Amino acid sequence: MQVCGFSSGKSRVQPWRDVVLSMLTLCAMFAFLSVRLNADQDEQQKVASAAKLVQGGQLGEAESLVWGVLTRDPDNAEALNLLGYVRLRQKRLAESETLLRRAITLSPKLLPAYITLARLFHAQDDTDKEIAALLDASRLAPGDAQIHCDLAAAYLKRNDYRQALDSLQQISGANPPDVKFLLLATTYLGLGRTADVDTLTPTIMSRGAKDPKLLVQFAEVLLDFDLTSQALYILETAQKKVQHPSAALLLTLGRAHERRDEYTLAERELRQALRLDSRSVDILQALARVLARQGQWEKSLELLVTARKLDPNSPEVLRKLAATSLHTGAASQAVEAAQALVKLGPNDPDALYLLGVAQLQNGESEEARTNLESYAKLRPQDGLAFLALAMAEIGLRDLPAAEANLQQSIKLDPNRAEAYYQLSLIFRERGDNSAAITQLQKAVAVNNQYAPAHAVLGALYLSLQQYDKAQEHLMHAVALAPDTADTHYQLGLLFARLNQRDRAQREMEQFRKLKDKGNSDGTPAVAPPATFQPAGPPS
Amino acid sequence: MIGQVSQLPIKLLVFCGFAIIFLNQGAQPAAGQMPQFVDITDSTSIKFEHASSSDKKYIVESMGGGVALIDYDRDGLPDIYFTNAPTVEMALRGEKARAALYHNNGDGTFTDVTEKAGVGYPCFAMGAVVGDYNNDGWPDLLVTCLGGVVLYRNNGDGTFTDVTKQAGLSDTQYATGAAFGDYDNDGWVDLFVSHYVDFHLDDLPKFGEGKTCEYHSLAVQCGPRGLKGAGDLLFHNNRDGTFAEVSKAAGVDDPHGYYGLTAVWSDFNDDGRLDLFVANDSTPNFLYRNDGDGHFKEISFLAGTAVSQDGSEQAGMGVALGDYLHTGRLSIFVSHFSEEYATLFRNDGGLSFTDVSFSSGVAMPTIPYVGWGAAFFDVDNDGWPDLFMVNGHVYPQVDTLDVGARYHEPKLLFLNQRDGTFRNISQQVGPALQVPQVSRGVAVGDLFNNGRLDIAVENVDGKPMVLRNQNENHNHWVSFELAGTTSNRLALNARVKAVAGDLVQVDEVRSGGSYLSQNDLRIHFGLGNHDRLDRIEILWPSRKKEVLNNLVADRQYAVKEGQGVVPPESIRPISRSKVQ
Repeated sequence: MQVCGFSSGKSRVQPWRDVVLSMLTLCAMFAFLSVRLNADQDEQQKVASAAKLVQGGQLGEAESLVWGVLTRDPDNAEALNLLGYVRLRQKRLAESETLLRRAITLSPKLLPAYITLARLFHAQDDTDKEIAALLDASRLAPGDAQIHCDLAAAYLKRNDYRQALDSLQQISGANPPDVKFLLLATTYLGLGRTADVDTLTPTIMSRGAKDPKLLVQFAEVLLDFDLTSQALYILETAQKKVQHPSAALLLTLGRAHERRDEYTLAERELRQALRLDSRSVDILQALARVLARQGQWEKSLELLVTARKLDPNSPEVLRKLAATSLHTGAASQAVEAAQALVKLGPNDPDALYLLGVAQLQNGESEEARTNLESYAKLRPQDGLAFLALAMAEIGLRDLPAAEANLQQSIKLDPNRAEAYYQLSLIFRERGDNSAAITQLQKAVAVNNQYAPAHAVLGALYLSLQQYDKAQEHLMHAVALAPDTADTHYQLGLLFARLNQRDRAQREMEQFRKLKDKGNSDGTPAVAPPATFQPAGPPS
Repeated sequence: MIGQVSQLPIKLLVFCGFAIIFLNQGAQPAAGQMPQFVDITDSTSIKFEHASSSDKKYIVESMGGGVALIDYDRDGLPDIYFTNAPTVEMALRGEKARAALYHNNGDGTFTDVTEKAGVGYPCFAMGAVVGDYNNDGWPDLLVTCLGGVVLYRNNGDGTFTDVTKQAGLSDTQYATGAAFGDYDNDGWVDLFVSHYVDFHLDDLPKFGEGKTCEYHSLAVQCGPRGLKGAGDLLFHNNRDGTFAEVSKAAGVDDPHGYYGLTAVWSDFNDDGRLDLFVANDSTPNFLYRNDGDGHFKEISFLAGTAVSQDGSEQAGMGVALGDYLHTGRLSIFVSHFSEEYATLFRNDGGLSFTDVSFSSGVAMPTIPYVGWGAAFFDVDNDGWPDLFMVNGHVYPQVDTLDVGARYHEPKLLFLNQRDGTFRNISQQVGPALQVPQVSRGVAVGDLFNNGRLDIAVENVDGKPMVLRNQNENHNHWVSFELAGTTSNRLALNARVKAVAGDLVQVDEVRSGGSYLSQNDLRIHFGLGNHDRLDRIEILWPSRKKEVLNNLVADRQYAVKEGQGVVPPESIRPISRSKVQ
């Protein structure tokens, strides 16, 4: 089953924006404070000192100082703003918003407060409010390039390329910040104006000569828009310019090679990046993905476990961890990771789905049903949801409910072979071989490569003594999935019936060999249904 | 035209009437006419109780409970032998558990004759089967035990003698299933004994320790998986009161040590040689094809009887054979653990079987239960064998779980629909079957000689249950008590084909089966509305064929090999106590 619903890179906020925004906030704060230094000098000095402490990461000391100011002067807008910023850093977002709004009410032209507010809404992923705050800030400081850049970035999060371009075109001056060019490139690409990006490239390359980080960031933008060859060219140019490539450069190089399915090269670059920065969650995830693409699921899982230790609350890491655990059969680990993911976002449909599937694999049918029911309510048009729900109900032996949900799944997605297959098994259990055969015929009609359907069809025809049809389907099944023990068993029975004793004996030997292998290494000789594997490596 | 059209309904009605009368072989019981099984245990004076521990810490405490019907005094009424086993704690203290032999008084009551018979304390018993090993006409009793077997020779005077040692039945393993059968057709029954696990009271597996001592994460008794298995034994009858062990030479020694339980002999491919089916717990079943000259070949995989339809090993416990389709071939029913369906292997001929458990309708109702003793028998005498199975979990601890399973379980009865399917009528045949118990052995027989087949059930916890068949329909029946002359004396594995109009049935005299138990050796056929048998064909183990024609229904017949119907007294030896 596909683990679906992961976002593409194109609307992802670039991590370099966060750094820019932090700098912007602090700079604005210091600038404003220096203007106000003459008035209430003592108080302002304390606030300025507190701001320095915040810059140094000493939030506790800064807070004490600011409280000292506010005790004497509760309407000190700068102090309120700084405390609001401290609360934001402490992830006490509701308090932060209250403080910042109070600061703005007291001092409507307090630019840092608007910027900090924008940052808060960014943290909450509330792009509309973030844009509103930045627009207020830009009205107060219309010439501020950084504010326009942030506004453009926020518009890009909404894929609003026109507005983003408007914001960027308001940036004047001879030396705009580097980020403007990255944002421009993203905007042009979003608008399909690749020629404009080509025009921009020399400027970026020239600036990148002084700061190779810019080239890496530019390459990331190009990768986001699947311009992999161009991205590789930029990265290789950057690599030549530096004596020691940074972890960020190697990471992006690795991603670029991965996009071209050059997994060996990708792995090489990423391993090198990891040596430089062993605590980078991004690198760990990227390498895990490349290993998964090469079928090295266990190694991929190890890396994701490490990533989780470093960033226990990263939804992306938890998602990948859960999906990869499912692939390796570590169902209880998948459940645990998925539970953590749901805790972070209780109404996240993808998280609910992942948890439900993990619980299903772990034999927790009742719990799986609950979560998959919730998922189905959130995604009522998703055929896969009803298929997964039916599997939970089959585990609970609630076959009438399973049948109804399988029918619903088929109605929503008539091309899902597994739904017909599972329905056939219900009919078969009920003793209705004819109905079972009908469903299996539909399964192979929509997907002739679906081995389990051929295997059961063959077994049914065998039991009905229709040996030609039995042979046709069983041979097809074993060609598609040669390591499925049960198919060999059925073939053995068939050849015994046809008096082909030697052939029968060989099939039975193969059956027992596969069965013993499955029993000895703990993995089932029969692979779990294909649908319940993530469709490919986790994104 | 109007005249012709108006005549049609009348003609149709008349035709339908003829059809109903002519074709009806004995109607399927209407809802109100279902046979009723009534628990008459209390009125029988049977006071036996199987020894039991409340927590069943060891697998040996869960696996016993065989029951045998044996007309030990040859008075024409089947008597009942209940096996017993101490708990492990009792055994370690040197205490024994008393088995019981109850004499059938013919009036609905039974008398405990254990002491007189001398069969009260054979061993740590599992099951019991009947055979006449010395061909003296007195049925002997073979008890399987933790530690081997005990052969009680019937002395013909109401007593038995333990002749295990002098018979040469050297067996020290954990014996469970057994069956007498004349595999080499020399007229003397041989003996097969299956073994379960390698278990010793001085080296007990630790309760709850390890993955194979857990059930849904609950600590339970260990095994059988995780315990070493034990091979099986075949003893050839030397015709002088002794046996010779020939297991390996015969190819039935089970070198891999599968967990053997119930075993039955039958000629599955009609080649005149007895084949052997062994239900193995958690390991593939065995079907040994008799190749003659004392050799067998294990063919269960190719035959389709080793594992379930999807290739999974199941926990084979009890076995029933029956020609439920009227093809003349005996199909095999095997009971299993819970969360596994009981399997019906349809005999397609040529030693090919098909798992038809689901399509026959027996699979789904059996999945929740741990099944044990089972039997095909005609509950309503309509001529079509029905199917009965008893259940009971192995872990008392299961009652603390919320997985739907319970330690005490009801029984199941399936009515043959005559089209290859069965209908679950368990809740329509009286409340007795619904009483949850921890049942194991089942023995079916006409306890009261009234033409209706009754059931004795042994429970491994508490009292047994004797179920009387109170069938109010007017279907006819017939039964046969056979005696071999050239063939073995009890005519084990004589095959009888009964023909009444287009109703053709086949059955066989068999030792063992069910779960470590023994049914009445008399062959019973329901005849529906046929009040006579056109003919019966008896294929004796000696391969002699005997045909008897035109027999009146609703009677018991004694048939002696080569002599046809004879007075019953002529096939039953005279009691030695009477002679003396």
